[in-house]
Amino acid sequence: MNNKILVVAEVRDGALKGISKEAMVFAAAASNSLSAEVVSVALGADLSQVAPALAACGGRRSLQVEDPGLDPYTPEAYVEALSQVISKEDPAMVVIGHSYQAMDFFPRLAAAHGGALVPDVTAMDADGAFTRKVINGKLDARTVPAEGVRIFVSLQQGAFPVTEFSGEAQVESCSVDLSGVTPRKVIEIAPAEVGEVDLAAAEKIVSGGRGVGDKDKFQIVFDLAEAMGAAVGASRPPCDAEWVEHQRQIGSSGQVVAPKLYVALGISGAIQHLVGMRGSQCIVAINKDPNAAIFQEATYGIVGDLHEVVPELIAALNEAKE
Amino acid sequence: MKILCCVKQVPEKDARIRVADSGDWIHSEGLAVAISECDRYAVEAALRLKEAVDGEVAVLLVGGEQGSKSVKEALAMGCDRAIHVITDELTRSDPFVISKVLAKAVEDEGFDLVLTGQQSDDLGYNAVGQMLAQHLGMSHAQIVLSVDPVEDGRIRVSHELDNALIETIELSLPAVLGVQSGINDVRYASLKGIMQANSKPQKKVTLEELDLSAEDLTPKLRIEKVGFPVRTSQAEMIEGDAAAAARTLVDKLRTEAKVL
Repeated sequence: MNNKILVVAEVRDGALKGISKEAMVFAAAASNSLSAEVVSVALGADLSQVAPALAACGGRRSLQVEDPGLDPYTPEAYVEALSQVISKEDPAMVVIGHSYQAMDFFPRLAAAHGGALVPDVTAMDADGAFTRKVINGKLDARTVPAEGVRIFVSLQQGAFPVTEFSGEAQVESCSVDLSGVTPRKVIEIAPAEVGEVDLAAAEKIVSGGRGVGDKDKFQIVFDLAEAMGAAVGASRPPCDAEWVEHQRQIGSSGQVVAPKLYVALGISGAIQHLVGMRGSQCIVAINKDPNAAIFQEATYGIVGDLHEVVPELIAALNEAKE
Repeated sequence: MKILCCVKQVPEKDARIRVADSGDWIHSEGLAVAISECDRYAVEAALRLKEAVDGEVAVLLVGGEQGSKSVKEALAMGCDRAIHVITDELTRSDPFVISKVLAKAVEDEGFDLVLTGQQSDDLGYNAVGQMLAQHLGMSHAQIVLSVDPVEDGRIRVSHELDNALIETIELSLPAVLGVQSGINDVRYASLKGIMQANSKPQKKVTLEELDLSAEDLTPKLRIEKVGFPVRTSQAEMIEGDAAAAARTLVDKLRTEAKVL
């Protein structure tokens, strides 16, 4: 293996994904501690817009793999194309952003190469150990890949914020042979139903999670929202259980919001939820579990039963209004 | 259609988590356990498919003897038979080894469709199904929202592909699907189901009996240490009883954060 970090950049609607820029930030830092060379690779049918954008994210070389078989995305074609690039470059580490598309094909790629898959990473230590969340985000696990095995890392969205890039990579085109690939039939790619609840515009949001209890008890979320003049959101479990409409879901498969005030009631703080709200200016978390991950993100936290605290909160708000 | 559903037993969501003395995993004694959330939706999806097209649903669990509680629960929900790979060694193993164990346990069975939850509540690797598909040369989709049989040994699947994008695809069987939570209403076991569960076939195999190679059983990853995250944010914890805490919070939101 070569002392090389191969960053797999993803493309959506002809443009470089933001999460792929984050992967380049990670690679630049990792290349310093490992003295490794960074090579990026983009796949698609037409990369004319992507190539300069990716080269501007640094690294030594930027490989452009253009083939009509790579659009639309299929895991069959991606795994084959990247396998050929990996055979050619022989990198010690392959890096990608932990996007849904990456979840779809990256583990297959790692398995095909007998590699060590380290998914959803939040940090890398100087000694090469990775940090990732376990037990529903409650604990950090220091995770060490086996010696001499190619490492396949996917990075948690938002864990490596984009900064200024220095240097420009040399763009090279790279051809692959996809004649042996039988891709699946892609019938349609469509935006998920967007409801009438547009939380992105709300200045204040009160959100409820599984800890609220049940459908009837969820009324308390609406009550606090009313007292605050806020919109109502939710994490995934209340939407799954149909306590509230799916359109209110905030997180990686729902809406991404960044209000001035975000109040999380009975939300444990699964990463899928956090990526949808951590940009909020002020975050209040009320949860009975002092170790809930949501407190890591909060500006103010109250450990306690939300059904005791929230009525007092509504009373205090109404009092202040008078 | 011959369907396999892979489920994992994990700590219950509300279980009180303590780090074990060894420091490299959680304290398991007396820990409340359950079938991992996404896996429950996978079981339900499997049962609905069986009801729609006829066939059988087998449930597979890799884990210690205590896993039989979850096996029985799946049988009580309506699965027809169970395969329990008994091992205490793999509770926090990496997805490569687990996918090799699953591949070996099912290679002679000829399943048309393998359903798993998209990720487990404990390790959350989000990778075992995809790796299993790779080992067995099967097609695969992740974060699956719906699955419908179509003609000629094919299925139509819709799944999430990036923020708010839903992709609809057709896959040839055999296939592996990683099921998202919330895609159906998971049934409760009926009294009749619970009564019948004990008489359904349950095959128990040990890890040794599966006869995997040393290479397949060599983990690619090791968890060296777990711990509660060091609080990195400036979160200010507000103490006091409910009324006092509520008052302090409103005051701070108004005067300090200036967001009210």
